[in-house]
Amino acid sequence: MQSKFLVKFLTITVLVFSFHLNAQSEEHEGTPEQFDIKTEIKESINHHIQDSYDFIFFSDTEKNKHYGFSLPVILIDEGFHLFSSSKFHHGETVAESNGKYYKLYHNKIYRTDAEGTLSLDEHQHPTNIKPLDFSITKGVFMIMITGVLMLLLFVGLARSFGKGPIAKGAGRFFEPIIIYIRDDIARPNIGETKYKKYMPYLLTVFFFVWFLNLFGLTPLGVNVTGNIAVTFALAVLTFIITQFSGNKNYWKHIFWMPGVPVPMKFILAPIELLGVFIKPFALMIRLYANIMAGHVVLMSIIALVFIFQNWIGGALSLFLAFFLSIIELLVAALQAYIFTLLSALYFGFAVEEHGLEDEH
Amino acid sequence: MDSFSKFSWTLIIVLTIAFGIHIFILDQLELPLFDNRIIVAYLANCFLALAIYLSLFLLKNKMSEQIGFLYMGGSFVKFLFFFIFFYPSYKLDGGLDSLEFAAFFVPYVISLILETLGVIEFLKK
Repeated sequence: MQSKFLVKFLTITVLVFSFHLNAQSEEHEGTPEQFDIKTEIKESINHHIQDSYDFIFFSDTEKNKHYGFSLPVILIDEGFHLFSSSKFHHGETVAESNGKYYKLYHNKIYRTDAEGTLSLDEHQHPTNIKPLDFSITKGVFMIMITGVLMLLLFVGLARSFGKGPIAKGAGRFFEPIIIYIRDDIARPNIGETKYKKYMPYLLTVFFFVWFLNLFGLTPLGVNVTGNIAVTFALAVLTFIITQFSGNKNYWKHIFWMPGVPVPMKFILAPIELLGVFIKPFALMIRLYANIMAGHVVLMSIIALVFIFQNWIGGALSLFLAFFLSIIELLVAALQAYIFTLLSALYFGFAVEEHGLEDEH
Repeated sequence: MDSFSKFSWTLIIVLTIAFGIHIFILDQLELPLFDNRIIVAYLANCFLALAIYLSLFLLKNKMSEQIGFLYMGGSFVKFLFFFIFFYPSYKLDGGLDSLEFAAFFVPYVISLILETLGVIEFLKK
């Protein structure tokens, strides 16, 4: 039943987006620009690590052709604007919506006149109005796909237990991971009595980060967990849950550390208070930096093929990229594990009950 | 005297002294004395600190476990207040200069320290 639905969903998705794929593969007018190889590599890496308004699988720069599909652009700018990102033609044309004109410049949307005039300041930054942007970008699209995938996988896993004590299908692979997160992350760090209410968050965050890290390793060119806005949102969730869970003892350990001389309490209070913010900040930076660095290094090594343009360089690049990809597979799981473990640790600090041992 | 009255008097006295010192320094440096909404900033910080402390005082038994969270929430409300009511007027001339920053954040830090000491008293009980 579940797999039938999955097949139907994927078929419809492929059909819908293949229509857009044809629409996108039209040839663009104009003379193709001549890039030197290093600039092209740099642009290709930048394009890969940045979020975008369309989903491009690959491009033919010589013919100026892009193969992929458009995504919806949703703007709030003195009214609601909804149009397809294909209207931008990859930043080459001005998009019109409800009498207003928008231009894509350095992956950001600005309101312009009908000619697409951008006024730049001394730092070459546009001073045009930036509308409130709620667009379904490539990153948002992948987040949705991951959400649907997780829902299908884990609802299927939960339902399979209704038929017997053993999980079926993909659940057989995921069940031990869920048990590992419960028994080796949540229970020891949060405590036997309180870990249960944090399990939904810990499991969601682990699989969400892991799946998105794995999607980042595919040739789809997605880099969601290497986007600081995404890791910021995840870290904020951990921060809010930690602070909301914090009991009297947790706050006492921040503002008036027990068991230390009074002058030390005054020194420790601001440090501990800073720590409240530094912990989620470190979570955010750690995940972002690891994934971003992995993508840049891997792409750079693949690019060696085009720089050397001989069989030694090609073979070297292939081997390095292969081994680095294997390490990145490990990093994908490791970063998800670290994020989950540290979140559990912070929840554990927040709910920990202190007894007489504090009065030393 | 209950802890709220004690806090109120301490806050008003300390902020008045800080305001006097602030104005004295501005005068010595021959800078405009009452620019940058300095009076409004001191009054707003004083009232917000009193409101936050009163909330903590009233909820200290009912929500004793979440007292620190309420305190952090109060600080967030003050930041929000700054960004809604003060920041736009400070930004009108282009940017937030050091005088504008000091006009809001000197009373902010003073009331924050006093609030923190108040929270510590609640946590120790």
